[in-house]
Amino acid sequence: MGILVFPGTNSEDETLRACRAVGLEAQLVHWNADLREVRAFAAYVLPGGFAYEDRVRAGAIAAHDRLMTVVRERAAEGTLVLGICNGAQILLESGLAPGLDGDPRPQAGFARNAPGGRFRSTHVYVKLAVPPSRCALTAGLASDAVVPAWASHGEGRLAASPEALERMAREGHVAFVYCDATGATTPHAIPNGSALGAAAIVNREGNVLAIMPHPERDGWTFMHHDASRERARGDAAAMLAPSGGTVLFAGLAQALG
Amino acid sequence: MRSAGTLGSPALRLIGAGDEELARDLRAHGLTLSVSELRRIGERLGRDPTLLECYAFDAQWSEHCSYKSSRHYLRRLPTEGPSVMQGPQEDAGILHLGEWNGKRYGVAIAHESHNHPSQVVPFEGAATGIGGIVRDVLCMGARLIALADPLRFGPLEDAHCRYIAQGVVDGIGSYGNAIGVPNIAGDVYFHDGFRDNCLVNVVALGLLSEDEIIHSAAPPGSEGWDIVLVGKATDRSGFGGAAFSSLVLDADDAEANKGAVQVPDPFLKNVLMRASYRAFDVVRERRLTVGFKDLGAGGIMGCTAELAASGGFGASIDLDRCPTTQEGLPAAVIAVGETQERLAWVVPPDFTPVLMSIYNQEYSLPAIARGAQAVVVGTITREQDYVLRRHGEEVMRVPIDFLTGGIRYDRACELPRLAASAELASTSSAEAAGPQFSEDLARRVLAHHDVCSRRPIYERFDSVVRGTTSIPSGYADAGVVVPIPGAPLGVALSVDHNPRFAMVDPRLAAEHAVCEAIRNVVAVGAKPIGLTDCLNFGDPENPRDFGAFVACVDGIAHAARELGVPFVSGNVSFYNRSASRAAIPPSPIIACVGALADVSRSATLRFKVPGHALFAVGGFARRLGGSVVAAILQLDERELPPLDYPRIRAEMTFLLEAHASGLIAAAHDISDGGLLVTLAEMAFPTLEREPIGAEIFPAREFASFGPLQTFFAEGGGFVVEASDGASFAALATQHGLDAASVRPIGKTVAGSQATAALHLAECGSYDLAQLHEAWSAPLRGFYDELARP
Amino acid sequence: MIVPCCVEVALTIPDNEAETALSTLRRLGLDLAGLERADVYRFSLDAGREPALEAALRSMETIYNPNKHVLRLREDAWPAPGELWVHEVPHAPGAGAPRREMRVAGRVLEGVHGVERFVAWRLFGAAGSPATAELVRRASDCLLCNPSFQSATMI
Repeated sequence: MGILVFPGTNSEDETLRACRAVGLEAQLVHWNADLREVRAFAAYVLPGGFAYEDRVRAGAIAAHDRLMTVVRERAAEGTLVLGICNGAQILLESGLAPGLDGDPRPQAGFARNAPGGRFRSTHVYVKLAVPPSRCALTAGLASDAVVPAWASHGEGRLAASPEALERMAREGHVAFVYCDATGATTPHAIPNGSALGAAAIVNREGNVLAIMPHPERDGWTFMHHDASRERARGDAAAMLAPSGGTVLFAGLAQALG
Repeated sequence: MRSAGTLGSPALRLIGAGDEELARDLRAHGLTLSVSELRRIGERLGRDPTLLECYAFDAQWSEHCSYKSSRHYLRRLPTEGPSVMQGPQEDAGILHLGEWNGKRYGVAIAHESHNHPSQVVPFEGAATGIGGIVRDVLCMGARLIALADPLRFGPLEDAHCRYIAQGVVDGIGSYGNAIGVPNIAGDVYFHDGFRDNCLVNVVALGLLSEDEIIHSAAPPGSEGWDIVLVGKATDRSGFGGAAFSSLVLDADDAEANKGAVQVPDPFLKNVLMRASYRAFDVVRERRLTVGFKDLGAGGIMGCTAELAASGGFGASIDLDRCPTTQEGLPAAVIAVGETQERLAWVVPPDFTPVLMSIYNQEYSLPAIARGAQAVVVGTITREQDYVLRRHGEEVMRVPIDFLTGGIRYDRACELPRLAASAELASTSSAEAAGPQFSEDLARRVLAHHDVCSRRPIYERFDSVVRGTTSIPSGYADAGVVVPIPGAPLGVALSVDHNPRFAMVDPRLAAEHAVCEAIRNVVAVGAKPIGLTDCLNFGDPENPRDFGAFVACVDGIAHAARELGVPFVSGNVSFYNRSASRAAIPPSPIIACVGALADVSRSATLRFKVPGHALFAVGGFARRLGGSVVAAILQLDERELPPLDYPRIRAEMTFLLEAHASGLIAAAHDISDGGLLVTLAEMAFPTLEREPIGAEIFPAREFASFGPLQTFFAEGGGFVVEASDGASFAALATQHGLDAASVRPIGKTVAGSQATAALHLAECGSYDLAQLHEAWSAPLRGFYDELARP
Repeated sequence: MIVPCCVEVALTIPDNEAETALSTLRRLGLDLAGLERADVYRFSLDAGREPALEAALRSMETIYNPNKHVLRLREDAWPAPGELWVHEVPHAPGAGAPRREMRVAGRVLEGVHGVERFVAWRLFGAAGSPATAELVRRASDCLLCNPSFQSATMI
């Protein structure tokens, strides 16, 4: 599988490590790679960062990047696409998610956080809000699975017209919602004012997932600050083992067989 | 005598010119050189210097580049020790982290200030501060792993101070977040003394293995090698920056300083960093010895001259080959302008095409920003001159050692006068029939701007990008990253200096800063391995300001020697003062790096389990000088808590062993606000768990002072939640620590969001939810509604 | 009487964002000679208070910094030919509604009842003159405005 690196991407290394930690064969693909080679991958991950410095709007310039023409074609063929943070913003700006009616123009966006409109980096939990089989990447997860992650973004508030939001809710496009450590979906758990409490959006076909918080940034025990860290105290191997957020990458591996 | 006219650039006419006339000329050209410095240049060159040469010397002989007032005193700092892989000779120092898979790993650290630019254009100033420090670490051949920001602002009640604070925080975030380096530590103080002159210090860490170190020097035998400039095309921005940062800021000058605004481009830097990482790999594969240095003060001239001079060579640069964003840029602007996002390599000519293709093709710099590229701009020469050419003519030719060797001043120095002991005897006001401990006072201390939650600020910084962060900001006294995938080695980073302390006793405050920076690293379980300093002071030409500088250098040198931790890098920033010329609080800001052999032995500051024993290790003081409570109650306290180095050393050694033995569940230092604040911060709820309360014994059972001093004095030391109290106490005894050093003070108790409390025996019980609100609220309104992110 | 009053704040230092937007629009086939960007704040203001507002904004330096910006009061409250004003749809019901007073840095902005913020893009057609309405609309559709949470205003 290919991890797409645009100029300004900054999370490619940890995304690559998370993929490899669950046994995926993954490699970085640069923005000026040969498009024929890019086409050959079985799945694509769009990692976090600030592609083109989020100029004009987060994800807006990258949505028109040449790599995205390939992603668009391949997604239409059913190839798995996972966008994380900036990658998720690019997927919404390119219209690949939620993909209502196959419209190539954006039907939703991740707007500036509210309140305050500023970048925020905070630990969060997200809960699977659709039946696991709704999305190819979550098929291996338990119903209502709670995944730890870090929200590190300035534009993560799902925004769309009331009609589009209503359809996204009704047709099961909100794959994950923000919740607290116990899985409760309280308004307090939403770090950015996101509509529907949405943390991740899946397309109609279930092969494209756009998730705002970073599961890979809470994907190893040494990153955790809950009881699991305490249990690993004094045990370096346990401390360095993948856990928590990497479950989403395991889902990707499972979907790819 | 040769005429400068042959150098194709107008000259400053020295011969026959009076001092007043020369001073006028210098000012008219925006030069900060003194008349005597100018005459010295003329004498050495044996002719009138060209204007371009004057700008070159202006940059190289600025305080910023030459340390002309400070160098002599900086020699007093201890710079050697078993962890030092490279001391303070280059852009960054290197500390030994540990071995992994047969490789010896080092941590490169650099510490700089960007105070003056941030006062004028807070967003760009702070952002380019990050950009600069990142290049300092990058050019050692290191990969960036962490950032930290010590910040000092005027009071937030002042509209302009507020504007500056907001812009600085946004600027740091915009740059650091975009390049993808986690910001894991920092501190913020608000003080009247920073009203007209904020402090924006930046610390960056990089990781490298021993065989990856690249020096900022033309390597031996590099005569005839290429000088390759990489990065942004030179533009008008940032001309005069070096001279500018040595200028006194004056409100009326803000408009005039416009030309020196350095424009950040973190987008380009992101790509430039990654391309350079790729170049490091190729250089290492080919076993080449090359030179690499960032462009900072003095631009192309400053960087290439120092690269060449450090190797004992001269250099010749063709300004026509330097990419510019516009036609007809004056030669002086191309030569010394401080356009951001540039570095320079010295490489053998047969490697040049490989290097250029990494930047220009593989990472397509020209497509990332207009005019950005890697290009050969000059040659390393055996001849000991530094030469610039423009349109085929020489526009500068000076002896390179004269240019880069700098100058030195012996400044008059008046050491700070402290309150005499006779005065002190009568000032222990708090002990007499002074103010009493009260619940209201506890809340006011927690809500003080130097104490309250920094979350609204540090949340603006990405502390977990790169997926290596084990302890992000807000979770412990120091941030921790685990930078080598698969290895248990951790790097801890903390910063410290307390301006309230500095107003009482600059030298002792400086010593406290060293102790606390080290203590913060020990609190997470890391062994302190090295220090950096950024010395922010007033006017070196003012004997009092300079005296404070000298006293503080002596203070940090003494503390570092006593605790056995060397300085490996640093920076001096002078001329930090207000429009009325009052110096800022003397601010030697210290950063400390710690090494964790096994990250699974690290501890954060939050209480973990109810029923654990709590200990205070050190930390009690009778003196309230410089404390938050003294500030709130306006107590006339003129003495800081003293430092007992043998005891501090013993306590730290003991704690590191207790960490390694798994006896410490949580640890937090006792600093701003004192013991009560320490306990409250340990108890507060987190995103991951509910609050955990504490029952503290009556103060008289563990402290020798009244409740006011017990809970609010800022004597240093730690509070420890021991996972096994008996073993912890036994280990303390083995270390020869008596009850005065390690005292049981209570235990953690179960609670819930609604019921958790701090029970302080005779001082009452405090609902944690209420304390948490008092502590969380003050900076929530940090941003104005209109302020644009 | 309450009137709209538009304050424009533009960068005097290089604008990387405008440059990237221009090159992207050109790549998408738009024939543009240039593109400029500014922030436009449309205040709802007590009539006659315009000079006081301008003075206050200049002195408090919250949206304006003389070292990198130019600030000017605009004659009218709407986009000029060739301009596209992009506005983020308020996120919560009631946000952006008129309020009694507006505070900046603890100071009350006298006579201000509300403010809307726009990013103003100024497009220049092939000849260097203001772009045609058709060109502005195409730029809006293909890049400058995401209609799911932004609105674009042009004449």
